[in-house]
Amino acid sequence: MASGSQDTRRRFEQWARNPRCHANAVSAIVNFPMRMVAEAEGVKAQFGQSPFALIRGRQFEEGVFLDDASRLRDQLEASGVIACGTTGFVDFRLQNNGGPMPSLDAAIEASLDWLRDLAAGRAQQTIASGLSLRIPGGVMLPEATLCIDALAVRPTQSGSELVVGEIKVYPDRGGYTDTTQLATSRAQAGMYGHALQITLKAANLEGSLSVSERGFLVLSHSGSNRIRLRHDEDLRAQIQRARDGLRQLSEVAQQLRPNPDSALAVIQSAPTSYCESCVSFCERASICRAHAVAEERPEILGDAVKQLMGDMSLARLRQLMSNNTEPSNAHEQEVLEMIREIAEGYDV
Amino acid sequence: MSEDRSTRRRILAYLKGRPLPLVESMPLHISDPADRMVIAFLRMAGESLPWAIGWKIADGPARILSVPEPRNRDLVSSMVAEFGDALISHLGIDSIPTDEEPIPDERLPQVWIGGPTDLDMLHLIALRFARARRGNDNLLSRLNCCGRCCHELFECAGNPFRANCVVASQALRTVLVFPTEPIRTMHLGYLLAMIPDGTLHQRLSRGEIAESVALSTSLTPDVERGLEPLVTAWSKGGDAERESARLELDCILAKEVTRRLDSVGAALQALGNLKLPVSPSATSIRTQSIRALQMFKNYNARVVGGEPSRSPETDHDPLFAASHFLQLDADRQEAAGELLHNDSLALSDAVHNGKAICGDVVKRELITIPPRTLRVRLTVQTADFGPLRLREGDWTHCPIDTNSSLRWVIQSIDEIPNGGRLVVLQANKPLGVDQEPLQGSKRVVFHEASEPELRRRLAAMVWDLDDRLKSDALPSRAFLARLRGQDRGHTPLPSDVEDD
Repeated sequence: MASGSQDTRRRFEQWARNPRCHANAVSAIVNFPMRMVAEAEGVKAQFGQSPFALIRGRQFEEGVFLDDASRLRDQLEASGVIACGTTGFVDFRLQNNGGPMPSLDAAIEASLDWLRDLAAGRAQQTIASGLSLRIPGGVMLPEATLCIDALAVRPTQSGSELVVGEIKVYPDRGGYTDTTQLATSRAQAGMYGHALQITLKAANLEGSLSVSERGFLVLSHSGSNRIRLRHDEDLRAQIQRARDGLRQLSEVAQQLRPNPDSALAVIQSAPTSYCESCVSFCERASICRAHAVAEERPEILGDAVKQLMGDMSLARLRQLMSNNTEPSNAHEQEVLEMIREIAEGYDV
Repeated sequence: MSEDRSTRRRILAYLKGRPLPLVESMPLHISDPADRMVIAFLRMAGESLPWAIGWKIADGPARILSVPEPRNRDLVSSMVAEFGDALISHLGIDSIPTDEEPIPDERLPQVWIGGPTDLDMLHLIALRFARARRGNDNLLSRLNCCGRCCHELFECAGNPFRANCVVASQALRTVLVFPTEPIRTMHLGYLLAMIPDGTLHQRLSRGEIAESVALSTSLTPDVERGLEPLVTAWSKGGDAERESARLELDCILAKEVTRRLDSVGAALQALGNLKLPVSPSATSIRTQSIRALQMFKNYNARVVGGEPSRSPETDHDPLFAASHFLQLDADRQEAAGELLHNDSLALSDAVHNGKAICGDVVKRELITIPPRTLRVRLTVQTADFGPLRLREGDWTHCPIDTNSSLRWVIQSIDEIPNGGRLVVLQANKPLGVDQEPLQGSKRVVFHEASEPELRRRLAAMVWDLDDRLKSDALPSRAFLARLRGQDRGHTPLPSDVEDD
């Protein structure tokens, strides 16, 4: 399978963080990391993962699925996600992640077979890990693959319901848990939920299998490897977001039709749209910001300033403030009056 | 301040090429150097407990503790316990409850931390240790107490009416608006680099260099990649190799912690260099903080005596969480209100937002409410004609009132044909002729006080709900009842507030 189809979720989230930026969209669609673009332009990338974080993540996940996922099962049963006394665990993780699957293609094939068995009542497992899906129809170019961290299965009148779970190593802090981290985890689970829906529809399994709109997050305890389950997480909005987002991304892909073989040149020549969130995910943000600073564009003061000033530059505002020129339209007049009103409190 | 006005101030700061003050007087209480403990934490990526802890009191030497393997719980527990001893000593925590009221001019021991990640670490320590139950008795009691202190500091840091724990980057953002994106102002080093003199270009360049250096509790992946072989050597090597790895780790971590401690020191220095006059609101914040610390001491002593301790989470105790949230919200609004009368910038924001009126007292009268109750009624003329969120029947507070519990109820609001408004306000408490409030004051400010009152009432109602649901079978109820009665003052209504 082409490497360009892997890590779909990361690419989708990359695009979703700044969908207005064409360079970002091309990078996500052809899966050419911005890090490599930034390096080609002489920027030393600041992002990257700590070796300790990678080890910790792997160890935590291994612990979750140890002994046929007994720890996870205890929590799922205690919170009512699955019924007490259930058994059966199926593992689709790759060998390099502690699972039995030799390759991603094998995992995808085994996952689909298992879903068919489940629909036919031949499979009885209630917990699955690493369920791998290939989104059909070329939603992202060339196609998309997703691996679901954890999946719980519970019986319904018409067959089985699949409950999507997302594993994260950060600690659950009750009402103080980082809201951004929680939102990201829910967004990921929503993407998985949507991918499952597409897969079931494509495989004609919708009659006997359904996807729950409520999922669960597996988090850790502070200072411990014990797991904390946040169950009954409402994923409706996130599934809808994934559905709408992928449709939009597909449309963008059709419009741009980037050539993956010349990805670097295409990204470098694509128009950019710098915004505040670029700082947190794009290695090329410093270059875009430098251009914005040179042109004194309002986005260098944040999204709220951009919203207030629109296309008017800060240089133009300075010119107006110095009374050298008259506002050319009502918008300029309004912005000028707002800033002058604030400036009255200071020695201008 | 409204987001709209903070956005405009940011634009103005850019046009002026420097950070601009957001206030005219210092709304923060900054204790004397001897009462300030600066703390910095480091953690290994993926872990939630500290890898290294450093602290410094006044100009004394920094004390830095680190462990070679932060995934070893015993090592971390010992380190946290030692840090806890220093923290407990600094805060003056003892194990004997007292009914004594705090002395007004008593010192306020403060804790200063660099940024939000340090604050998170306080909470993570609280989560891990405040209610830990297994381990060596002596170590466990020290860790439990340290966890409770960290929990208290975490809660205080989120309350503008408390100065027990201050986040340095937040403090700088409270007094200055920076000509840059809000996301960058989370980095303490960036803020500090923007403050010294220079052109805007120079400041921005300095900021970019500063923000490439990590000041949060996490290390950069590059540094961690360098530390990985040392941690492995300590875990798997022979004695000599272990010792060498430990020394090298100590040295690198100490350097990282020291940089973070120095940044907090620089932030304190920068705040002092602003030379802002201290706002009277800072004095009331100090008083509130001393009282909060006294209440925490009493609570801690009771826990040592065998009572259960509060959960550092909100999820396990929704009643307490709801009440706490409402109290906190009331404190936030009250802190904002305290600042208004002494700060024209803050006042202009409140008036602009329609949450305060500023005008001249044009008429004073004593109203008799049968049979013999006297109430003072004021007529205030304002020049402002902007939108007003205050309505007839709303409660307001005048910060210069000597009687801090006095509220003014809006009786009527009339627009004056040629601009401005006439607002009639009536005191909510009976006052004698010789107690005329705001005597000698002409220009006065009344800010919205309904919402803090409303929130305090709602906070009390949460506990009334608890009373209705009360079941003696649940062991936590006695504890909750005690909290209601003693610690938090959740009486149905404050005794000094009369219900109109």
